[in-house]
Amino acid sequence: MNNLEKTIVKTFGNIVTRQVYANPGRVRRLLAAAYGLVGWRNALLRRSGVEKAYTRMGAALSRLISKSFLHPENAVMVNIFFPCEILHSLDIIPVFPEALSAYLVNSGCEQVFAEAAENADVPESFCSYHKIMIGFAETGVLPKPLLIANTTLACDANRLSFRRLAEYFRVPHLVVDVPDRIDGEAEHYVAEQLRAVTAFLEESCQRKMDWDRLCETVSIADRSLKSYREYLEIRGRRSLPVTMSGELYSLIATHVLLGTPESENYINTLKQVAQTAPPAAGKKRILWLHILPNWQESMRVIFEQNGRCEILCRDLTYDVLTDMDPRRPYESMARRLLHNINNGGAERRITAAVHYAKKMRADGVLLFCHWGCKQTMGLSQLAKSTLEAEGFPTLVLDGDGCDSRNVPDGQMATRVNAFLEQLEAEK
Amino acid sequence: MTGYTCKYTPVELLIALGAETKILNSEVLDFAAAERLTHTTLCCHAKAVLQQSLKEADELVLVSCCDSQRRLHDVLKARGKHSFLHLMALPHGDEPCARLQFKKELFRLCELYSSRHNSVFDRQKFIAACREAAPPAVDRPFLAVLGARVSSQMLEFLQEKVRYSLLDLTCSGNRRLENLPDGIETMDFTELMEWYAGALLRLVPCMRMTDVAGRRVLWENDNLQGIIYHTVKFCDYYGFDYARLKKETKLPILKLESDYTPQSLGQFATRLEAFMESLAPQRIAFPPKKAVGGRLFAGIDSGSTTTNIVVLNEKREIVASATVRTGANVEKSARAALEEVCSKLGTGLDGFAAIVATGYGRNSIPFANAAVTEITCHARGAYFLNPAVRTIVDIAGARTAR
Repeated sequence: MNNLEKTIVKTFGNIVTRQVYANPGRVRRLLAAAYGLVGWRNALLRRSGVEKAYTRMGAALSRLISKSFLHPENAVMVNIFFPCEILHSLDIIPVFPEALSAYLVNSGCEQVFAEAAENADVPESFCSYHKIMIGFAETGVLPKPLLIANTTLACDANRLSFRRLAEYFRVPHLVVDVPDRIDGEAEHYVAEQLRAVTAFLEESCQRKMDWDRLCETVSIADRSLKSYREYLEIRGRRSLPVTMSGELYSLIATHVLLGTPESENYINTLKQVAQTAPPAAGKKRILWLHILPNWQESMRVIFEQNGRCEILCRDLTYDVLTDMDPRRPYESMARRLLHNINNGGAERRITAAVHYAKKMRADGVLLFCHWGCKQTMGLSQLAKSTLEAEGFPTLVLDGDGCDSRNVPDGQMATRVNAFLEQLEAEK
Repeated sequence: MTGYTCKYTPVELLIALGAETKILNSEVLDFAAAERLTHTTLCCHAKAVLQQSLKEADELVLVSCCDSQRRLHDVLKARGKHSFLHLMALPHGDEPCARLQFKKELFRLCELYSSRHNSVFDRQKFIAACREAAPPAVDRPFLAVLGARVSSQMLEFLQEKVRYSLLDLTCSGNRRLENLPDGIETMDFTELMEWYAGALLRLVPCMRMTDVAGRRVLWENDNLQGIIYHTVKFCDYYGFDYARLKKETKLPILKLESDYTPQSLGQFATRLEAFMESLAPQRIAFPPKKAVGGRLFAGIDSGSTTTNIVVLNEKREIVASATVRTGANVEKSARAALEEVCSKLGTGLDGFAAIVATGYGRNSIPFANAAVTEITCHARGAYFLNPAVRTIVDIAGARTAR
């Protein structure tokens, strides 16, 4: 980001912050206009390489957020793991905290919402993504959605923030309970809940689910996941200038937007670019676990601009890349939830980290402890010792994916640079 | 001994299998070892259990009730020191499919525990334990501790400080099984476990369950006089419950946050005393007017650094004040302050109708008619000076409070 862009973002953030309490409706319109504009700008940009994929996905995501502000009656608030193939098949817009909070911090205005939530008794130690979303809603900026639907996967925050917001907005709240154990009964249990969600949505939005369309959406999802698996195979041998925001797009393409043409195009473009990318050589290859602080300038400088290292992928994106059967959409979506590496014990996630570190030929692993995420913090030392026993030096880095108040910026940069020096000294 | 942490643990089943159960709820002096294995900002209760379990590896049955408990299990499993360690998957509701899932969990635990100990299920023990877990309701005025689990040390401390019966209705304390069904004696094991799975899932829900509307029974009780609301450092669940509770009840609430170390307790004493004063304002036993010649009223604030005295006359006008260093002897400094105002006013002790002491040394001033916490004094004093005041910042020598 150049100085002019920084000034614009800062000014925009100040304008939003000043008006939140006095005129939340105006703030909403302002954000909708700004994100809509960014969306159109990205759609018109002519880029090549990974930038082409990023600008297209950036355009889709910005316009999605903007649309959710302008047409909340057709928006459903979900968590990142919710199987949104159901929503896409009913032309319903998903709204989710990971994108909202990431956009707000990158617009320089997240603090006012985090503080609003804390003033309303949301614990300071709560996940910042969810905290900012609560503040965004309870200050009156986020409009009332049609309803709220979330899975119990993967963390405590899902169970708390969505229930609170459903009570605040007085909208129906649907919860899909995902058992820890995987067997046929668990799959049936989850699939039945997803069918019930569909039935409730049909009634709420007065639209009938088109079975063929749902099957086609799941078919796109299946093709996209296969394509992403192939991309990772290729990526293991190639070097690509991926960005932290790019990894956010990949997360959204394999989760909330999975099953849409935008997601499939994005993943296919990434794969095509990777096929012609130069072989991996020179840069230190980092496997990232958990959140990426894409708003943080010092981290962007290190991971995107200094030429010493590159991010390979992150575990939230490869959390479940299983096949889906378009003829059995509900069972397929249920299986994806149950087999998610974040479901159940830490062993699944750590085993997957070791697997991908080997597959992607990582030089080191960075485990990012996002503020408030107990499940990631709790497994951090276990993951570090396991990965290091397998020969992958691991840095456990504390920070925040979306709240700039919780970030010791200088300390983080020093620790990351020292980690890179360690990796460089080893080869 | 088989330790457990969550109220949804099938304690009665474990007893029927021959286990001696104990809830793990003790404070620890520090978290050094636990934090080396996890993270500083993990829930303090989970860290305390981990810290203790590293020393006393016995048997442990955990429930996947929150992220911190799940990670506690992961870390202990990786260490592999416990002779029996099991994590039960807990559903989020009590609908038929969830009950079926939980029944399977009960079967799994039963199988694992039996084969480990070569024990068999004792039906009579099970029924007796279930009966014991259904205590009658309280029919006298009481205070409740709500919110996140409290340590056994803190519960004992609270009970000592309050003048009412104290019920532990926190997430791990509020464990009352429903009445046993008719014909329980003739049920086969599968039928028993079907009922038991449902009975556990129908306990008053903790904040981790999807539908928490049933929590209202905790505070909708005519005998409940006030609530001590407890949260554990780095446990997020009960901040949300507290926000909801404040909107739903007009009962007096005192919010306390502890970190499962003994340091927390010392900080709570004054706040608890002030809470009790607010529940039942103290009637100060002033001597009858005829018995004293004086018409002056003195307040002494015996702080850790200075002792302050203020004297009011019958018209509520401040007529004298003094400040002296407290020093090592609280009583001596209070007398010195009193003597200073007496000398200014040309009177003696008999010139006072009443003297009230506050501050950390308030209970060590024998010539005071009453002792009241500084929190209550601040509130009354601020209201006297300006009824619109809503926040008071107390910058003191020993501690600063808001």
